[in-house]
Amino acid sequence: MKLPWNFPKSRRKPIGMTLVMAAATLFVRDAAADSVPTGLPASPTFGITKFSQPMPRFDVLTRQPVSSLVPAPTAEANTTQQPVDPALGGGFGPIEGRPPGPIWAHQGFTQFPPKVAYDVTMEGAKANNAYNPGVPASLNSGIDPANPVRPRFHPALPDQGPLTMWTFNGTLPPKLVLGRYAEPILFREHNKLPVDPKANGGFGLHSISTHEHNGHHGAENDGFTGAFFFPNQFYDYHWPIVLGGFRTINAGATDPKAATPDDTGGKVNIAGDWHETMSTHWFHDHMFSFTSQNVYKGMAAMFNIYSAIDRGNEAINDGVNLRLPSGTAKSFGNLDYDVNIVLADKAWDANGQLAFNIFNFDGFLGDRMTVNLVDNPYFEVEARKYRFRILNGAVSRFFKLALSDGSPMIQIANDGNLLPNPVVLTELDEQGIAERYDVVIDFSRYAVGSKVSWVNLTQQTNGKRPDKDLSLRDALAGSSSDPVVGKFLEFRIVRTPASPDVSQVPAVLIPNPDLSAIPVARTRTFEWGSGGSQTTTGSTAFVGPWGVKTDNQGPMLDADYGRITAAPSFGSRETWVLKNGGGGWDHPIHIHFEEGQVLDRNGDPNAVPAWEKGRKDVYRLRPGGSITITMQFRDWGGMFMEHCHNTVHEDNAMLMRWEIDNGGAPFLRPLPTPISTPQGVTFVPPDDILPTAF
Amino acid sequence: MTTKTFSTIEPLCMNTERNMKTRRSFLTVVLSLVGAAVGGLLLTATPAHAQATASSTYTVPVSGTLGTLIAPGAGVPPGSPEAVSCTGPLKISAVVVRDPVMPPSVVFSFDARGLSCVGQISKIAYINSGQANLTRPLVANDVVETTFAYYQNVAGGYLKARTAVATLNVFYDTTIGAITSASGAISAF
Repeated sequence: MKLPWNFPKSRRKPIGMTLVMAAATLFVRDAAADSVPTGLPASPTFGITKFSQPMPRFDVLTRQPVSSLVPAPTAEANTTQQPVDPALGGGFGPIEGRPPGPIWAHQGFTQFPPKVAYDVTMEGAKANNAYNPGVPASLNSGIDPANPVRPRFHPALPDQGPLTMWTFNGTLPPKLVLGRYAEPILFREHNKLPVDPKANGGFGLHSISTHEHNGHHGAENDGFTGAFFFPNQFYDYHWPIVLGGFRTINAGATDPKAATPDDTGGKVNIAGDWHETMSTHWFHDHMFSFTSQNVYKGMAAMFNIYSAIDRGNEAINDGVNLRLPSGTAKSFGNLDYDVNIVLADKAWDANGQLAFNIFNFDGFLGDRMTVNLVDNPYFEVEARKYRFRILNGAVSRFFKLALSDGSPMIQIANDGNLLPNPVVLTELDEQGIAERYDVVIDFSRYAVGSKVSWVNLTQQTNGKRPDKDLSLRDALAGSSSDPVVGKFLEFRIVRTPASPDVSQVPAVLIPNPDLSAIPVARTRTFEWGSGGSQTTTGSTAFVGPWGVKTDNQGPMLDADYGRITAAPSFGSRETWVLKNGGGGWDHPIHIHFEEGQVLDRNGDPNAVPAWEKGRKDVYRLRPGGSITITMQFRDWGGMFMEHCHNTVHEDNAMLMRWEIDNGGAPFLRPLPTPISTPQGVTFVPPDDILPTAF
Repeated sequence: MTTKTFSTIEPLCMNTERNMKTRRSFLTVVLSLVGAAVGGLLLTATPAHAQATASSTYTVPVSGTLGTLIAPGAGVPPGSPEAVSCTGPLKISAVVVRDPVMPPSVVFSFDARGLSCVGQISKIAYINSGQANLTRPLVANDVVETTFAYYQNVAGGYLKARTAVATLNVFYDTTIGAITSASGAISAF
């Protein structure tokens, strides 16, 4: 086979371009040294004012029959050969970018065959002529979905170009998948990004890997950072959507709370532990060392998972359904009063195109606040209860939300998991990158015609950490140097509901799984900080300012997805201590695959606040802090990751690989590392295994 | 996934010519990135591997009236707004973190759950969920204002929560990074 000799050149070019751009960026940065917080010239406003456009609901992706997929999905990667574009090295390569062979075959593909398919693309921005908000215009601030949705942050701003913004299906608003337990999904993603890596609008990389955050799926569907695929390839992700512990707990599916909604208002029992029921997920790119840039370009979407407990129907009263605010028309997944929200700070250049400083390794901040990828919008609501699923989709920014009149909100979930009990808060905690807070707001306390806003209280002027949390009074005064402090979403109470609000917020939601009978097999310590060094030189290694030190041994190591840092035994329970070794910085640490329970903060069990007493997958360390969690590793195997979700830190070496591979027959030990190229994926042995890994 | 042993996978990782060159190509990218990283480091990144922390706690006794002032005996229906008398401790703590390249910061924790509150009309006990972790700068005298929710200690009381505000005047010994004294007040928001 002809060797792809021009591949390295083509891959090298964007780096050269990047360096040139970076130099220019730094020059500009010097010229605008007082610009806060981007380090770039302030984003021009184009005359827009806050609250002058409606906030669009997410765009619900179309469910398709699996039979509509051509070619049909396969357990192992489809390695049918196709010509590879010369810009990618030429020759031939597989049509699917998933690593081939049995190791990366879909686990449980026969046991949980896909019942629903999604067939999506990742491509450059274009108008959306098929917007499906999932609700009538009256519940979407009057937005007529028949009108094309242009890829822009405000009607007065220019469209984003197809090289600047890359999104699912190439369109806005951000996408939403509606799934339910026991209805396995085959999510096929086609990479339709430019084959020329220079065609990136100045940042981002065209090879991608989509992480279903925090799916309880086999690792081949987790979006492993090294399992990326290239333009003109697709990747089949199989999301079986099972309850944790399904192999050993309630295996006979007799527990009535472990169930999934059917299509007629009833439910069907399923195996597993209902205490592991999850609700609010998102999925996003996880390309090695390019996650921040790619997610910033728009590679993020949300995923609501419905269950008998969290039905998305507030009227069904069967003793299991919690009847959280949602709607009543459909048996499950009503979005009328269940609203997905993604918060993200952005910046744009003089032409109104997204701007990003790729050489700020502290973390990148924008100076414009977007909600569902539009600038400072309004949202019309009825005078009743709403559920908001709030995702912090920023690169490096923390948010702290309050209502402008100080009214209480009820937090019901953290990181996609319903809390054991609702927590009433007037100011939410600082929300780290990738964290999800579900809250209920009761707008019945307001008169029709009145307004109330969400306010960001956290001032941040660089990507290292928040500067300070302002009082609501000070945040509203507008005196902060951070333009993202203050009001950012205006709720307009436009009418009383046409039908009575029958939703509830029960005093008990989902108690934590009881792990007390499972002995703790190991305690591991991970210290996150700067000054990382690299001990390997392979193609899977990266050198950056950040790193992870494991079990108090050896140096703080830079990321290498060929290195096995930890390898819990299948079925075991462990305790992990996450320590901030980074001085006054803050790091929201994300552990893939398994939900954890927080045991203590800074060694004190009493320091765990009420909103962190459920299950989580992102753990804020706070400056100088530590957090101890416990998890059980089960059901699926393979290689996963743990990393800082300040994605600039992640991309600059604050990431490590761990794996579950000792579960008996199905798994290898240790797992070989995939090496992805457009011409195919090969495998190499791990280039490093830390002494305490196994 | 079928059963395999690592040895059966071994041939896949043999350094064939194609693999070597593919790896080399990716290595080129990585090296380029490394160069970029080093350049970027020299220009913008800042080391932060040294740290010092100090923690301190303090209890602030407070008493005050929350809620809506309504004349006693006005016949307030159950669950209606009423004035609420509170007394008890506000627990505060501060973890001061010093960093080589940034000003010291404070992770300031606030806990009002020890307050004892009673409705002046209903005589029903009120509870609150006043917990907060706030990022603050380290200064000799910090005035912290934060809000919290309170509600009747009855079934479903949290659905009708209302808002109070706590104002804390906190003094630090900025040399050792500890709270030296504090006073506070609570009131209706």
